[in-house]
Amino acid sequence: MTPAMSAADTAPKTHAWEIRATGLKVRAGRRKMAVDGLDLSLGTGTHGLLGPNGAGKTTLIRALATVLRPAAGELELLGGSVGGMADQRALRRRIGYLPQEFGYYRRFTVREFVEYMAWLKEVPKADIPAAVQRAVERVGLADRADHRMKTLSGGMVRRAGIAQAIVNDPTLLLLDEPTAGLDPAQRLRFRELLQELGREACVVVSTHLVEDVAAACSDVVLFADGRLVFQGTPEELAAAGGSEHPGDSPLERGYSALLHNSEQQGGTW
Amino acid sequence: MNVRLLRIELRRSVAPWPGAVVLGGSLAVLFLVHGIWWEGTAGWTAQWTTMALWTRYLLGFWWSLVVGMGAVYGLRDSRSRMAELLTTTPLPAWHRAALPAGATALALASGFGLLVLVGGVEVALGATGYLPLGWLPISLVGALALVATAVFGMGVARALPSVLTPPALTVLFLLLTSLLQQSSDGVLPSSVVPNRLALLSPVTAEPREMLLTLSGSVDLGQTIWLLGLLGTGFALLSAVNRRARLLAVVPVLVGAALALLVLPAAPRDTYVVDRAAAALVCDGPVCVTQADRSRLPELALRSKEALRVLHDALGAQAPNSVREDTQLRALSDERRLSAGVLLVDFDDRLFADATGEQLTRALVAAGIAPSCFANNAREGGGQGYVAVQSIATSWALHDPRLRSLEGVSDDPYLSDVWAEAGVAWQRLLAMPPAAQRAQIAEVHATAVSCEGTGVGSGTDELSVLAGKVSR
Repeated sequence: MTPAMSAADTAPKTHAWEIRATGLKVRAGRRKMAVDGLDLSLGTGTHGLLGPNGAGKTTLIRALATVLRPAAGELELLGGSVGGMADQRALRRRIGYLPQEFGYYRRFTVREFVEYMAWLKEVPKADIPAAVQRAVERVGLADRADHRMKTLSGGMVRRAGIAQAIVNDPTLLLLDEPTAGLDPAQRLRFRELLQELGREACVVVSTHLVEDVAAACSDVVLFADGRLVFQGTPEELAAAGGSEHPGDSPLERGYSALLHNSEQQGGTW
Repeated sequence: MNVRLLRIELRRSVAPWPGAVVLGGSLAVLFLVHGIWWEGTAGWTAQWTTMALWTRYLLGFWWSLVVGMGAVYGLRDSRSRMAELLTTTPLPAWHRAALPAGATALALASGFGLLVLVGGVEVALGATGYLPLGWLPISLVGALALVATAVFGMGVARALPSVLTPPALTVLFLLLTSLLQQSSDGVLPSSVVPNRLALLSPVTAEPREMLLTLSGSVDLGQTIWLLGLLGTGFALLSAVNRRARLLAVVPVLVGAALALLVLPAAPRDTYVVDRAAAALVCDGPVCVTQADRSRLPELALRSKEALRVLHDALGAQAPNSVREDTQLRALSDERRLSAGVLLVDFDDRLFADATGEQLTRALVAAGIAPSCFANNAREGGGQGYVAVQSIATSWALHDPRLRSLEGVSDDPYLSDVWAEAGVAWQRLLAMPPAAQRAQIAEVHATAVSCEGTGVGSGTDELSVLAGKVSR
């Protein structure tokens, strides 16, 4: 089985970063600036987006998924500036997105749903059946492919959500809380999948589970109050914390330490 | 359009339901309910045009349901919380909207198409040999109306994603349907609101007069309006922002404005006589319309005999030709009769299914004592008069005893009339032959001039026959 390939996939990469944000501001609702002056560059790899609730993670992911438009600053995705309508369609073809609140057609089977999403993502018609089968297999739902979405458990629905996100072999994969509802065994399998996907694509995983990041991500982005607090490897995150910081693992202590510092500097919360 | 996805959509969504409701509901009404649509020359399987008009009339039941069902379908994305995911996909929104809209259109067009097909088979297997093409636009506009309305419902629900949207739309369309409904009680169907406005509803008046069809300007105007409605529905369904939603209103407004220019202002330009169907075909002195051509051979045969009997009975006063009654008449209005022509109304109970000798008797009855009031499935004006016609016919055909032209009714009023008729028959026969002829001639003259006082009750004429009243 071969994954669906398009001209965009095989063309030589002309950009240094898959995601490049400069002074990016994104509003959540009318008033709140949930992303407030973000500078960030992310390339191929699996990036864990960490941060406390309300830090603006979901708003950032939604902006990266082209759901929200930047209010100010610059956002470049896959080498093109977001906002120019001409390229948006080509850009969206190369994005995979699992929203935090993942909705689906309950009466569709898993295969039908993923197939429908493949059509919406303009996967070439001839490639759709194979691409759907591959996506379903990768999330371990092959034996449930012909079951209706409404019969799936919460964890399976999440996996179906990941399958639809990867069906177009995206160059930019955005997963907002993908591990919510997965049991420990599924989480382990999912981490492997993330590592695999991160070899060829820029994967951004929003989570507040620090251990997911440690196990699956090549890179950690710590985000608080709409701004970047830290970017580095999981090891660097662990090194930032000491025994005086709260947490059960080195990573959690690093997380607490960095957030604590940010709190003192920002002084807003 | 991706055929595989269309199949998925039809299997996994509510898209087929409106089509199924239109087909199943219409067939249930038309086949299971013994209604006026089974009766007469304007029955739903009597002619192609009346078949098309009856299916359009039934849209009165389905129009408002279809808009509500479309709205339920249109709520799917918001109910499934799919909206966010869908906005990030590259396929243009109009292309995405084409899938559910296409599924709905396919289901409705198939449902309505099958209904028309069933009707068509019934008509083709029926008595009429007349096949016009004018019925096709009537049915096509019907299918377009259903599709446009469903897509409009889908679009409105997409723009206003609330559980209240489907019931609100259904109630609104229900009110519109009843407000714009045309009544066919008059000479021509008409409505309480101005004619042009009434024609914005695709629901036609109940077919009553077989020769009436919709004029071309009605078909054209309704097509324009419905395309506007469809355009707005589809634009709302594929709108991604507020500006697009506001602009989406333009097609329906333009459609309505253009349609109001094209649609006829007067009822007489709305329902028009189908000239081709009304053209007379004759066999000697016997003429029927093209639409009823298949009845001519038997009618001509029986008319020859009937005209001879009438000549013997009435002499110079007897009619010398037979013609199908094609006059447009308001419900319960008097018929216009003339002495020299025997008018045959195939809706009349005497003629409805009459063949052979029964047809001869009906012709004699209509020639000797034509009823000024129609006696058919809708109008009972001439029921009592059948007694008079029966006496005159039995007399003209030298029956040994009085034979009723109709089956015996259990209506107490009618049994009184028939009791009186028995007495009148005996008195008539007791008179000298010349007096009998004079009495019959008098009945004929009174009938043709429509001077009887009762609404076809027959009592006055019975008195004449019985010699009680001298006129």
